[in-house]
Amino acid sequence: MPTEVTALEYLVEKYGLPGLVIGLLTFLLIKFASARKAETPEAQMAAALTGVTAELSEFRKEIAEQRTEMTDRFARLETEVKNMKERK
Amino acid sequence: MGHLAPHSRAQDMKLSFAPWSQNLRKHGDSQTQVQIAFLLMGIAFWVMAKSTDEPIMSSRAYGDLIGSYTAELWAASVMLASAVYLAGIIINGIWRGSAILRLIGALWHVITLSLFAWGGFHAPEGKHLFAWSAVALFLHGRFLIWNLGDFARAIRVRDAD
Repeated sequence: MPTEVTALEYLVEKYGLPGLVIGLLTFLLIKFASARKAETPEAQMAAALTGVTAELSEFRKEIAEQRTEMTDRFARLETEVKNMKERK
Repeated sequence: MGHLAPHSRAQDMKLSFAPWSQNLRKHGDSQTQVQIAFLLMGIAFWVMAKSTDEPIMSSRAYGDLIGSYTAELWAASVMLASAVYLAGIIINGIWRGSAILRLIGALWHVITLSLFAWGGFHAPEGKHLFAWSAVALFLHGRFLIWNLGDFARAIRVRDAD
């Protein structure tokens, strides 16, 4: 039998209805205290902010890669045009 | 060429604010304190009623209606109403329907306190009972209205989903 049920049984046997009420409320407090902290709007907002920051840094990296790629391609084309002009 | 993100992750992320009580955010402490006070009062009445054989809620002070039932019953009513309300405060938002627990608790208190006020008003020695019941009734009437707002918001958001 789970510890919570045994504890609740003991409280009900010893204190009656007040024991049951206090026991159930304590159980709820223990069960939901940590979940509440993680799911408050503030915590959700903080998680969203972390996500957006990570996305932004990823996007920056992607732009830098594309810039390098474009610069290389431009240089290649420029060289090609120069060679063709010389051959002509 | 790499793929550019078409939209932000924040748009993908669902921020569910509505189930979190707005009234508890503004007035949560007062509601918690009042419910703890009523819970303790219910427990005190229960213990008093259990510890003596004489009726602790006489018809002279509490009126015929209250006096015709046992003090344990009234103590249990106050205690359970507060417990349901406190459960709604503790669960707040984690279960979307938690507003209904606070609504039931407030409504339960309003009914019990209305009976106390009615009893006090008609009892020969019931003016003290009537006075505090009226104040408590006003307080729980406000709680009821605040929680109705939360309940309406929870339902509206569920419809939007």
